[in-house]
Amino acid sequence: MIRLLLIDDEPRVARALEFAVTGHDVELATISTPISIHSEIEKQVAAIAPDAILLDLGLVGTNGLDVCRLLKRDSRTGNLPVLVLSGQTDPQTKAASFAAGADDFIAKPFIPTELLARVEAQLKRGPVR
Amino acid sequence: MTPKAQAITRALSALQRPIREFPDLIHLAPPVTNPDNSINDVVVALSRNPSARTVFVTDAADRLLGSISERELDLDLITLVLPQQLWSEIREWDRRELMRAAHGNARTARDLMTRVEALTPDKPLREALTMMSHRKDSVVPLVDDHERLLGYLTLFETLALLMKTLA
Repeated sequence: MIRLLLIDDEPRVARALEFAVTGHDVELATISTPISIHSEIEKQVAAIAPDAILLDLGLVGTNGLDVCRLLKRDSRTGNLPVLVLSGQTDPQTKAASFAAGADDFIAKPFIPTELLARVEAQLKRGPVR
Repeated sequence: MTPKAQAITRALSALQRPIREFPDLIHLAPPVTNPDNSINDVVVALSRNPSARTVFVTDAADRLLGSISERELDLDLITLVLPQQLWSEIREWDRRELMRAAHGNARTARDLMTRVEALTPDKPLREALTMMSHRKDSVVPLVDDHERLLGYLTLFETLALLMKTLA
């Protein structure tokens, strides 16, 4: 069983992801309330204890890249693979995501097979260095 | 049964299976725009979906209202996006084109969208191909039981899968 956490404030992405994981051995949790870097998101993530995080860059009220940096800096969440989800697929956005510590970048729209394969690949690699 | 007949049987069987059983074909969480958004917003959303060349129009509850394809916008795109001072630099325009262009950026996604039928993922793959064939369109939207947009299928990828089945 994979515990997958989606951090995204768009319900439609959560619905799409629910559809993608149906029939797979995946438990999906979401943090969808308005997120800010002041909302101690790292504490919320640590409480959920996911195996991997899908982080949407298009969060309202904050920059998804800041959330990524925060998660990677925190000792409770720093080892968790963070896969960035974004509709902005230009090279600058991808480069900025990796610079912020993202372990992978998944473009929206996404194909279920590919998304799950990327999550599994991250988990096979083990804890992040 | 000959190998060719077996391949046809496999393809027929694939056509009867529900769309949800083809996760390689389904594009989830595509870019959307709301009906009151400007043409510029539509163009930005289209640029984020090069594989479908379509942007879907949804209401506040994510219900699908229609779609705008790149093909539909192609002819008007220059006049919709660029200021009038640049038009003549690109080419000469006839009067009819200029009249149409006069609507310019005042138009919204609602003005441009075409109402489309959608399928739920429990429908057979055959229905997606039938729909694309009837509409002469290369994309079919997928919605959930509440008509909220989930994603879409494309004609080329669906045909490629069937060709693989037939090979």
